[in-house]
Amino acid sequence: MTAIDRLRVASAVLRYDFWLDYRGVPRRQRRDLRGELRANLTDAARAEGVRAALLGIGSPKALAYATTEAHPTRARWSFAGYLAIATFVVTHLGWLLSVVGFVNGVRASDATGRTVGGELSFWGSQVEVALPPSGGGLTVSAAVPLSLWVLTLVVFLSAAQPWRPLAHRHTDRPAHP
Amino acid sequence: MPHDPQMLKGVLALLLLSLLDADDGYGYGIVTRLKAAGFDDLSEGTVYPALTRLEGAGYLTSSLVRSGSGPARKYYRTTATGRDELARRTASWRALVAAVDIITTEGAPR
Repeated sequence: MTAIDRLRVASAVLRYDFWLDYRGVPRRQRRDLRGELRANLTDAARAEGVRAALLGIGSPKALAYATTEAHPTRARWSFAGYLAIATFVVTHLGWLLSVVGFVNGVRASDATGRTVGGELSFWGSQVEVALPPSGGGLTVSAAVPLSLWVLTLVVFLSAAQPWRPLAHRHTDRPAHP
Repeated sequence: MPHDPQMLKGVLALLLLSLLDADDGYGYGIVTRLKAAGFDDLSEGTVYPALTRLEGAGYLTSSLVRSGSGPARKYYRTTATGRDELARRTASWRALVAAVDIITTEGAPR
């Protein structure tokens, strides 16, 4: 198997694991299922090629759904982790673009030799730009705004739903004891 | 002649329990045995989940066996409960085949 083949197998196993986690399958069971699929895919790839091996299992999502029952009582930590990282990266990029826009505005205003501070109101963060009198390089100071961290945390908790075990226990109670 | 996918799904557990009662096997190995027996249209995506479900139901037991050529393989074998289930399903299948035969060879009874 080439390195590319191994990567394709690893990618399929990762996607399978993602959907198993989304279904709430516990970590230990997921580890066993991942290992089993990896071994089967490796054997199938050696015998028939990676393409045929991956075609054989079909969609990793469908495979994960067919393999396990949903576990509604378990929080989806890994799924939430992926989503939180994606949210942080995207919002971080947006914030960085805002900072770049602010810096360009300061440079265009011909504030050479001055330090200009301002607030990016959308993000709620302060930016300071110092333009040296010589007109050379500039200094930018800005801290990642709290709003980004809060948003990431909110996304993480909303996706993970750590209250699922409690909610499930509540719905398990008989309506009329 | 290709098998009807719905019919295959109905007898898949019977096939797996029977196969793994005769000899233990791991996922891909079982798929190749099924294909060699004429079930070319059974895909890995159908067989692997069925193995997991049968194990969850207690009809199969499994053990990890190291492989010289890659990751450890998970070998399955039919349990005592699985053999009881196999006997029940086999009887059910034979009764079904007999009943279908009556209709298809002799026509519906009047």
